[in-house]
Amino acid sequence: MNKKPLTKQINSLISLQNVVLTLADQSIFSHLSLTFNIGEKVALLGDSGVGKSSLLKLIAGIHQPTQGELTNKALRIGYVFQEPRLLPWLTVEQNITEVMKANGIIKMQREIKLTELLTQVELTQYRHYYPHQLSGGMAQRVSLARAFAIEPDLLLLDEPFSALDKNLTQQLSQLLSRFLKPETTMIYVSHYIEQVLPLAQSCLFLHNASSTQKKKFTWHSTANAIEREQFLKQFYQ
Amino acid sequence: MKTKQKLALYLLSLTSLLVLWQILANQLNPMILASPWQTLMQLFELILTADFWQQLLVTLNRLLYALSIACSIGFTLGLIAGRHAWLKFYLAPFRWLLMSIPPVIIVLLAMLWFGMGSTMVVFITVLLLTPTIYINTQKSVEQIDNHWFELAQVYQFSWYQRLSKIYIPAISGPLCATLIIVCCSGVRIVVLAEVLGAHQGIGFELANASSNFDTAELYAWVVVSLSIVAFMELILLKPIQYYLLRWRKLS
Repeated sequence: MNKKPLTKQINSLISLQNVVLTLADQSIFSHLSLTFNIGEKVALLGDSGVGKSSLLKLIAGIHQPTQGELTNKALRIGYVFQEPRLLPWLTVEQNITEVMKANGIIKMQREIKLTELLTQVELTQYRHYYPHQLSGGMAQRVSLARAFAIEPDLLLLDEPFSALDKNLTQQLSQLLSRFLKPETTMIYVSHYIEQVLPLAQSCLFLHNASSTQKKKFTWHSTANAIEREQFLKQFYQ
Repeated sequence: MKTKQKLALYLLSLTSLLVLWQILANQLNPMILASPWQTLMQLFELILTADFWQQLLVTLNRLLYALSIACSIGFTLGLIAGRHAWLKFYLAPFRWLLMSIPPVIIVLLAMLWFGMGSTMVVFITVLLLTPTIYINTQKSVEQIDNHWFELAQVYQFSWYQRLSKIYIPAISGPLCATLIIVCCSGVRIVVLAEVLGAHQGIGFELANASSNFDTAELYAWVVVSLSIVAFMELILLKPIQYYLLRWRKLS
């Protein structure tokens, strides 16, 4: 019999129960249990190689759990990768519309959405350009537009601005916050806590608990400015 | 290189070939080598006959069937084997067998099984071309960056989108090279098979001309086979290649 509270069941979008992930004979997670609720904005932090990207890939369905149960109720997933990951043989317009087509958005809606998105990311005049004709920042803007084109239930961001300079990162972060809807669940992986805190409501810190590769997860609520300040102090200690 | 320069080089190369042919024709017995002029005159005569078009159509028909079947089998299996190692290992002995066996054995066996005619010609051509298409496709698919498949999975691409927006564009470079090799080899194999065991087609006419010591007609049919290869490469494959690789031209 399921003893979970009803509200938790209704609100939860992603649930991991005792998930074990092993990739190429290497244990990434052992008995990981987590829940992400609808509309929750989470910053996923931790050292390099601790398994942040693997967790995102697990949630996105790219990796399958070796053991345990993973439930993902999100119908549409937007994923912004570390690199823009635009198909080089498709134009900006095609890169966005193909994703919309795949998610069953009809032609008329696609046209309206594409025009709207390209205006927002200020790339209207580049719609027929190929990715190699764009700068790094422009390509990442297209990648953001692509993720939001399908109006995702779940947005996964894997250090999306790590290759960009500070000014560009700031601009794109602002763009991201404009795009984000309250009902969209966001999991944002980053090395830089300052980058994610303005967007996140909570932080999930992923670290190696012991040399046996077991991971310990600690939640830190950072709902308001004072708590964020405290959390940052704690984080850098 | 500019288009004009390319064209000039093509013309220069073709002229050199014709000059060399004419010099050799002057030196050798006309029974061994007809001159370019004699060949051209014979070709004009042939073109005006209904039989020429009938024979040409027979060969083109066989070529079309053989290429379509070989490309469909080779490409489909290569695509799957490139992503699923079990199929690659399962097909390895078949591929090795078909690529190692001397073509003449396949021709003899096919003649024994199917007799003379179109089935035998198409069978030989398919058997000899499929492994080339398969191995090139399979190796190219193996080289595709896994990032694109992750993207397709996250954004729920349909199988058609995966095929048309990931597989084909990602392997378009080697795929175009394979198509050129396969089309050229296809013409050679079909004509050879017709020479050995068919009652119709360019190869049959070549064998006839040879046994009648009609050197001019023999060379006229050789020019026809070369024209088929040129037509396929320039009129059919070049536009496909241009379309598939157009995005690279802008870099």
